[in-house]
Amino acid sequence: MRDLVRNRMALAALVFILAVLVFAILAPLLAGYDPASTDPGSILTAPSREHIFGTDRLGRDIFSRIVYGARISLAIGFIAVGIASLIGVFIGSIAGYYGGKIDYMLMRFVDIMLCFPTIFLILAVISLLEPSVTNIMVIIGATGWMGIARLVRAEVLTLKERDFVSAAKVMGAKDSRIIARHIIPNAIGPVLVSATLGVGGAILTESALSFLGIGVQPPTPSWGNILMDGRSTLGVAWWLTVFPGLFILFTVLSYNILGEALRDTFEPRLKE
Amino acid sequence: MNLVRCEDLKKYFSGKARIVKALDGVSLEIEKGSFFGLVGESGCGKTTLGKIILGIMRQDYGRVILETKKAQVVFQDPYNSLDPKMKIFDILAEGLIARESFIVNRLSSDMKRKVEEILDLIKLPKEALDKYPHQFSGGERQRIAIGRAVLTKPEFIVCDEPVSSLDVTIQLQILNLLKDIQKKLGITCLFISHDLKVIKFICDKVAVMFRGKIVETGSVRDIYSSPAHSYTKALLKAASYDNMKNYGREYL
Amino acid sequence: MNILEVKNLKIYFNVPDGIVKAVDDVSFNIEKGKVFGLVGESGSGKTLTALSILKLISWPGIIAGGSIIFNGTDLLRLDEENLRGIRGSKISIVFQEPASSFNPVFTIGQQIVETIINHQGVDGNKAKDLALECLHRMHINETRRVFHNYPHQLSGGTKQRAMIAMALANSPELVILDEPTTALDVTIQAQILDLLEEIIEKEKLSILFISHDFGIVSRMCGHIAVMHRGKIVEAGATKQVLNDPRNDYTASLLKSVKALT
Repeated sequence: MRDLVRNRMALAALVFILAVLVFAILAPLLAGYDPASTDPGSILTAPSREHIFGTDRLGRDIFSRIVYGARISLAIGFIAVGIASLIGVFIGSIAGYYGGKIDYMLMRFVDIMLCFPTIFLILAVISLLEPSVTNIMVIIGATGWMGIARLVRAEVLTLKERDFVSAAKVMGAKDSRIIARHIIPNAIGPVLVSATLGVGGAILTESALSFLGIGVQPPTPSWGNILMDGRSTLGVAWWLTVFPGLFILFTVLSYNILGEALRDTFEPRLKE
Repeated sequence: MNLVRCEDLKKYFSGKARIVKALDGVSLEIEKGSFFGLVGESGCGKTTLGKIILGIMRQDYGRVILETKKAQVVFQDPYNSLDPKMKIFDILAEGLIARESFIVNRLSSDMKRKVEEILDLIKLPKEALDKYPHQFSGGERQRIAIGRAVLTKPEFIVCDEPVSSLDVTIQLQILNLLKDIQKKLGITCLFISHDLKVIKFICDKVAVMFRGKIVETGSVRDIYSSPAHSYTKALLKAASYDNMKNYGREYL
Repeated sequence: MNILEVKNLKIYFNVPDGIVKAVDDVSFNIEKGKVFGLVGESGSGKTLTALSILKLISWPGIIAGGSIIFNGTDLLRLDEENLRGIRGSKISIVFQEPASSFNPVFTIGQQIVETIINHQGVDGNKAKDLALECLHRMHINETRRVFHNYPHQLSGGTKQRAMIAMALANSPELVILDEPTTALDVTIQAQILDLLEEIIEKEKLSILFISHDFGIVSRMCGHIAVMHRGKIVEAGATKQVLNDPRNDYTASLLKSVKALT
């Protein structure tokens, strides 16, 4: 923890992440307007005191949309990563602990999954199902667990040779107990790093999908689909693109910086 | 009566170009209540033998007969034998709930009492229970490892180089603790070490291993005073090299 | 006369919790042609003291004070270039782990030849001859095979002999041995100690011998200093320190050692 505090950039990143989180949670209080309410009288107005981020083609307040959009984007980010982590940890530990044929089969499955260009896989699935927020969360999670699985498997391979695991075996502990109580808690470090970096990635993916129109559907705001709206009016209404763009940029950047900082805290802990 | 018996144990590891005979036909018997030493240099197979007797490793040939279901282990590296993410209380108590499903973690007050009793034996304060392994020294961790092993009142313990990575004053502490435990609990112990001095201090009988075979077995007194096998002789000679009776060089 | 004089050496470590005085005002002298032992338990500061002689202390440790006089020069005030000239030629060091002291991607021969060329300025062929001769002096059988082998192809004992050969390749005046036999099996230990005794006598080397093992130190060293928590608690002729320790720590340490003999 102390190392994190010392790293100024990581601290800044953490502060930004928390700020966005607060924004998202307190959305109803912070937003001045209902994100869906249109106002034909104020179409495409530049940032002003009434609308600090301006308005869009339908007169909706951008700031309110961004603040509500934060909820969606963050929720998708966290839950998708949560799903990916659960799948990854499960598959990685089983493969690493049991080795042999099980390991072989599972790792070939990972390889196959990695062969698919994720975006196209997601596009294909989304076009079959409807692009609801839930579906997006699940599909991003279900296509993003492979890296975590490999990381966990690597950790487990070293962990299972450690004496405290042998001691537990001698005491009569079953495999399930060893994996759940000894292996996974010690393998969590890299997972935390991967998950933090993953949140940034998930947000980016969701933004891309929404930008292409197959992600979160209007009128529900998400940073990606606000960008989509702004595409046609780029020359005239820069605020439609710049503000959501900046939020996406800084949020993803912050998660990346935090992830790297976490990696620095966990990696050197090789030999005490 | 023999608590442990090994019959013609063989274990092979396939190396890059050849097969390594880690154990090449090892047989021994350990009497109940005795401290049996297994001594040899690196690669002789003593650790492999220990693991096979405990059931952590499977032999390729031969059998192990254990007249007990209650066996425990103490490993060499105190930095590796305790789960760094577990509190000392949980580490000590693990033996009591290890056989339960992994969901179980609540401990009865009876178990809590047993853990606290062990603290007396290993001479650690009550505050230690809430701490983590990295907050303790090597010697203290080894005491915790011994406490963990002894808590379930096992009949048989395998100690694999338990003092080799400790300073000499701490070594003595740990060895005295083991002697204390032997007296109080009457445990049978297989004590594996490369250090002849340590074996002499704590064991009754000893088997000398070399390249996967036992070359000589006998009481510590007999083996150390009149070794029969040439390897045993060489080992003893090398170890007595530093018996501190020859004082340094005085060069002109 | 003294070949090495360590005066008020201080090595401090800058850690989050404050400053750790790993070596706290240590002074001792090594007479030319003698074997001086530095004994202590782990963490006493003996290895750091040895490393500081060749300024091999890296961050977060720093040499905070004192002087190390070698042949009239204070090594701690010497610039890096001159220091490099001394390391490996006038003063050399043999480490504990033969495995990690050799570069795994070069052969033993290549590494010994490199240090010979660096310090003696001879050509490749002459260096090769000198290297082979060094290996031979260490009673290594099949010197040519060992010369062309990579470190991982050799046994612990042979690696250590090669390490000693490399340390002696440039006829150093002072050799530092940092736990040279600790990582070896006991029968090999005895062989290496025999070898060291022979070489020390033949080449009239001055030695700083670091160990935690009183037995080894008693055999090899005429004078010893006992370290505890960064300080020297007792020093003197080996026989005297071992038989009649004046310091409590030394006495209790010796008691434990003798209990296990």
